[in-house]
Amino acid sequence: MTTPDPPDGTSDPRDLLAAYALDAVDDLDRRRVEDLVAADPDAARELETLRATAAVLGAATSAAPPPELRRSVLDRISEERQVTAPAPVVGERGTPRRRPRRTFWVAVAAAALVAAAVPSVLAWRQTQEVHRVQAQQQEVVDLLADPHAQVRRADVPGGGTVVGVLSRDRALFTASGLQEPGAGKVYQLWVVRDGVPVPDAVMAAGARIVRATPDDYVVLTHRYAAGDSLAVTVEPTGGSLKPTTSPIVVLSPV
Amino acid sequence: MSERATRQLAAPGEPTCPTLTLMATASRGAPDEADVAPTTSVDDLLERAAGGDQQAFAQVYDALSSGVFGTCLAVLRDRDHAAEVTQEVMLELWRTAPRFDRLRGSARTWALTLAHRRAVDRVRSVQAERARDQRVMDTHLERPFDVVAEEVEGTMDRARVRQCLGGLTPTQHEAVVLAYYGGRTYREVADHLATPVATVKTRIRDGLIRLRDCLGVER
Repeated sequence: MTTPDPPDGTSDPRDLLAAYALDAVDDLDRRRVEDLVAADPDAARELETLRATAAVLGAATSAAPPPELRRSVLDRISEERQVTAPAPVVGERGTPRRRPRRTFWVAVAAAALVAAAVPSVLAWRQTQEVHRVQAQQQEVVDLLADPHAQVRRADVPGGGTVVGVLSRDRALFTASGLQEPGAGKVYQLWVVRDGVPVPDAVMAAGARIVRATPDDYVVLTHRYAAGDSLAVTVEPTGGSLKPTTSPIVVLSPV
Repeated sequence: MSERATRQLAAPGEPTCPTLTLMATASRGAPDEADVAPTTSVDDLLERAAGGDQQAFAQVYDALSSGVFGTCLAVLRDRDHAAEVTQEVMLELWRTAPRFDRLRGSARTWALTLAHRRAVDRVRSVQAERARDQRVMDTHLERPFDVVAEEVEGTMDRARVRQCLGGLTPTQHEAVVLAYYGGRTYREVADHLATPVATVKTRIRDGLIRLRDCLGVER
């Protein structure tokens, strides 16, 4: 591995205009170039011609996209709002910074990787899913470690046990050994605030369900706030906006 | 910009200078491009789309989607990824169309700049994911880059670009191709070539400037 330039920003950002036009800069260099271009019209003009040159390299590899993509894009624009404000960043016209920038050191770590081939879309999505699950697990760990959290437990008439870990701004709800809710019915969780039930998870597989088997559920809810109760009712498949039956169990904080 | 002049001046099939040859062929493959009246440039269409004109944007799509998809494909080398990023880019183009300013570059340059940027974002994001989680590496997709670079250039039947790339020194050519089509930072290129960073930076700069002058991109 070669020694990288010192990350102290002493080199002239003007020398990086071409690399910037090719998206071949890390985040630190990118910022320096954008600062230069914002302050120096000559540099901005130079960058425009270099960008147009890079775009020619892209145009030279034109390839027809999958035909169904056209319909998909044109269907979606009718739901996409257009911006009204002018571009906030001079050096990066029309592309506001939408994601947090990686730190320089992360960029350096990424730069150490040589492989440029990418995994399949399927593998990409799996990775996203892994990160989602990891984030959820971390949240559960944080919740369990919260000194203000209360643990409430109750038996369900007819069989099963529910446990709630209630913190100031979220709750973890688990149910195990529940009977089947019956054909066309589901268990639904409610956050009860000042006596008013707010619908929460329908206990079937879904984004916020940590685990769901027919008699075993784990739900992490952010609707919960200190003082609220958790309740479970049996509802028609798909869930309800208001409870249609009496709760089979309620967990309240002390 | 020469590109805009191209669209206004070039008679179909009658290129009058090398730059026109490139531009006339660069968007070949857009199925409905004939729908665009010859006097209506993509810049005009994007300005109409900026006012919420969805039909104008459909024509923008037809004119630019091949270039956007091709750019994404060149960097990502996977049709599914390229299609996803193409969709993101076209939607971003629609959302941000009100910011389009033709005095600062053509619609095509804007779209292709965005396409390359988003494709590179995805490559680097995937690489970062890999660094964090080796389990999802699917090594069967790994190929030595130099093979890939040859394939990409092989698909460039755009004689002018190939000719101008051929006019670079071998080391400039290598650095520009690794950076643009490989989606690498100049530091990564330096690593890959085991060459000092400052040297690679210079090769990229001199190479791209020489390419610009050869292609006749106006100052």
